Amino acid sequence: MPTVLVTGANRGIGLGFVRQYATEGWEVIACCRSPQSADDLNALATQSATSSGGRVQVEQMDVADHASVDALAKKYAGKPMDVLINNAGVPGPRGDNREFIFKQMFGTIDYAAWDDVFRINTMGALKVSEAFAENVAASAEKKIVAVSSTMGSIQEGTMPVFIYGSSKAASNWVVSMMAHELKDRGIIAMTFCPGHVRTDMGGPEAPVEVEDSVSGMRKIIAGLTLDDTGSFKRFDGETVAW
Amino acid sequence: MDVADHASIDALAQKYVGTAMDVLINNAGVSVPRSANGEHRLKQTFGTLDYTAWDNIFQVNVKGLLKVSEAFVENVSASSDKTIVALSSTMGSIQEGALPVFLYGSSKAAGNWIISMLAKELKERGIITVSLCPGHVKTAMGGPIAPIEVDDSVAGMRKTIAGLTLDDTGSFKRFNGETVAW
Ligand SMILES: NC(=O)c1ccc[n+]([C@@H]2O[C@H](COP(=O)([O-])OP(=O)(O)OC[C@H]3O[C@@H](n4cnc5c(N)ncnc54)[C@H](OP(=O)(O)O)[C@@H]3O)[C@@H](O)[C@H]2O)c1
Ligand SMILES: NC(=O)c1ccc[n+]([C@@H]2O[C@H](COP(=O)([O-])OP(=O)(O)OC[C@H]3O[C@@H](n4cnc5c(N)ncnc54)[C@H](OP(=O)(O)O)[C@@H]3O)[C@@H](O)[C@H]2O)c1
Repeated sequence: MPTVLVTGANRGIGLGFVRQYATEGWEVIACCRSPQSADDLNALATQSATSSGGRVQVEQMDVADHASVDALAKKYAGKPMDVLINNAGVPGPRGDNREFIFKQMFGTIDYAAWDDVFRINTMGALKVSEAFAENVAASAEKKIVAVSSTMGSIQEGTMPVFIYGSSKAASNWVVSMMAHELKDRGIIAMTFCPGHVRTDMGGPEAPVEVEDSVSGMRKIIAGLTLDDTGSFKRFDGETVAW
Repeated sequence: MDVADHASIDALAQKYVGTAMDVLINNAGVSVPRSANGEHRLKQTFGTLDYTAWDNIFQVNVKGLLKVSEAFVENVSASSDKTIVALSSTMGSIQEGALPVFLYGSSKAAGNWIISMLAKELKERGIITVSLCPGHVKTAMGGPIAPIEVDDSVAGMRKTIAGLTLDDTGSFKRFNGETVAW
């Protein structure tokens, strides 16, 4: 069965990817910052070990801690990975009231909090892709995807969340440039907007369920060809402008 | 003013409180410094990326741009031309960028996002915000083989700036006025 690596796999959209790929029988390398407290993910892994479905291997990896990324890449050297999902991400600083994101609004930007967001959302996806590019190249499907956001679109973004939005715009540039760089090797690199999804980040009012967002993205991933490299798609298949 | 040192930005803004500023040019920018042996290129190349070199680029090109704009926006708003410009680069264009300089290019893409969001935010106040690509210019950054002289790049950008109206806010133009795709 094919293999998928997911970052930020312990909750939200990442956990949704693990669940669905495991159900379909894939081998899932599920990475998270703190495996010891990843209860839902660990439960899934235990369940997968006893079922006839796919196998879920839980691994420690903090995408902002490059030593942890390198250590995991070393452990899996030579292992083909069909799909690499750069899902880990943070929303950046919020005010006391989550709807009121003044720490990211013009005039009241929290500059000190910006660095971590950039290290995780922008650098993290690039570092992980760089570390596992050989694994992807050695696989049959050869796909690298990043979970970005329409908020990071220069043309479609309408929410003035300066820190989060610019981190995703930078990540979009990175993924498009990876698409150029890796095309020769048959690797497909593309960017997703998962929709506004009901997770800790998306909030309880978000209209899209994790299950639907993930099944939409999985369907798109399954159908990707080299012609799709460098694209930016919503989970429902619509193209997002840069 | 060091755009990576926010105290120095605040101090200068304090000094100029109440002074109208017609045009604010966010020009300060960095990439990985050139090295004779070409090592600077490797630091930005996929497979041999130097993440530690990214930090200064991010502090200057991304955070510095927003911080300076935030600190002087009242000065711009009090002027007659009301224009904020950022020196970006075609290398930072997602659609036109063709050079795999990962650290610099992505920082300019983040800068472009910031500029277009500022355009949306500040339009109501009559402020025009644009990204300009100066062309490939003969400077320390552009290198000695760059085809465009500083004089020509600057004359072109000044002409473009002088002709801006509120309809141009949120645009990305080359020094000669051509549009660059995002
Ligand atoms: N939900 C939405 O509406 C929405 C919309 C657009 C885009 N997105 C994007 O979708 C992705 C997943 O978001 P979500 O809604 O599932 O968010 P979430 O529920 O907040 O989950 C975020 C996940 O990322 C992990 N993570 C954060 N920093 C990490 C790091 N340094 N290293 C490794 N993992 C890290 C978190 O792990 P911990 O538990 O250790 O914190 C968690 O597993 C993000 O990239 C987000 O920007 C979400
Ligand atoms: N030259 C090109 O071909 C080209 C092409 C596209 C875009 N650009 C953009 O055009 C702008 C100007 O580039 P250039 O070619 O004139 O580069 P340059 O010759 O290397 O000059 C860069 C300038 O930015 C200043 N600077 C760097 N870090 C700073 C900081 N933290 N605070 C304040 N100032 C700082 C430098 O000051 P110090 O002397 O103190 O270092 C210098 O004055 C940059 O934004 C660059 O990205 C240039």
